[in-house]
Amino acid sequence: MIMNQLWSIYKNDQIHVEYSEAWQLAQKYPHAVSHDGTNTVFVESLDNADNPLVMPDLPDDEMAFVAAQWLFGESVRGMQLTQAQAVRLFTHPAHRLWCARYDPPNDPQFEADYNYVGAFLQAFTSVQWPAFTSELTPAQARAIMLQGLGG
Amino acid sequence: MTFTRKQAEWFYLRQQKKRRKSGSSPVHRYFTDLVAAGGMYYQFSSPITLSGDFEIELRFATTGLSVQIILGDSHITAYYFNISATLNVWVAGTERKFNFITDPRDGKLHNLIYKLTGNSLQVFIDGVSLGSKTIVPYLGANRFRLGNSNSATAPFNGVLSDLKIWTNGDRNTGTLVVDCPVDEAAGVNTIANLANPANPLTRVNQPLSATELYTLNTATTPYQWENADKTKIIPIAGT
Repeated sequence: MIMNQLWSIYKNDQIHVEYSEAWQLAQKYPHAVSHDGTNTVFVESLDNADNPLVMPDLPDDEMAFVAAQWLFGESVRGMQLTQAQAVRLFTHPAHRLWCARYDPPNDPQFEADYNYVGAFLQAFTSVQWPAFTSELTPAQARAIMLQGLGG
Repeated sequence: MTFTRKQAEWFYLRQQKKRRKSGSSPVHRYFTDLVAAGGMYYQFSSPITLSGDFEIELRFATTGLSVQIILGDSHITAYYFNISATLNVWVAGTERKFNFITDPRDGKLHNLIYKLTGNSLQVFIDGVSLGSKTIVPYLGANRFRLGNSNSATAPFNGVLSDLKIWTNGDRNTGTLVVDCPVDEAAGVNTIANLANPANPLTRVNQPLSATELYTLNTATTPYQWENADKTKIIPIAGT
């Protein structure tokens, strides 16, 4: 198994498919992190991965949009990206909104992220983005975002 | 003779200045840049029981503003220390928040101390008290992770080093059970616990590139640790 320094992201369920790419990586990284409960991040990649999405060099919002469509989709193939790209995705408002980890629950960051993601999705799609209200929960925001991505 | 932390730091810095003046060799050490996106952390081999009073000391540097776990087992059932807009301590499901005097999420290396005396938990950053809170001590075992926990996933983003834990008292009266400088080279996956070699830390999700050799620069104010090509700088708070 030949690895390289690119990071990779796979669907969580792929880890349990014996000899799959994610399974192979999980043998070396059994505690690889899943920030969103759906995808797992490995800090290496397989050299011989089958047709992965290799993240192109894009501005943050465009990269987040490409990554979001991939990560929220059904593909079992991996995404490969540099550590720097992974960090940029991890700190993007769309990722925070998707992971819905705000502290305390009325964190002003939640409203800021919700509005930011609405604006950036409307720049790429024709999604209708409801205005933020104090009753909106992070789980509802996550559902709205998924709908906006066509999920 | 027992030194206070301030005295010890003064002595250490004086020694560094002497070395610099005498032209002796520079001071080096390794730091690992934990990247939260990759879920990097350290895991103790065996559980640690904080019986009775305790004192925990470590150094940290971060610029991350979201929730980050410093040292944790489970926030529901055990001890769990994290940082967000406040410093937070969970003891078996109950949270205590300590407000900052000055926000330490500035990328500088800070000294952090948690000290339990009876039911009173005090927190210090760089020797300055953030106050005390009453807790009901948890006396069971803690399967500690440094930079993460077993119950929530909010990995630390930055540097964690020089972890020490005393139990059954503080640094002057208790037993030192953890002394992990976290100063191992890249590729060395077992992080020595000088106080209990049978219970070291293990690196988790850390690629080789996460660990680099740093050199202490005492010509700057504050002093700072610099990696080889000076693309990573860790200023030392209070120097």
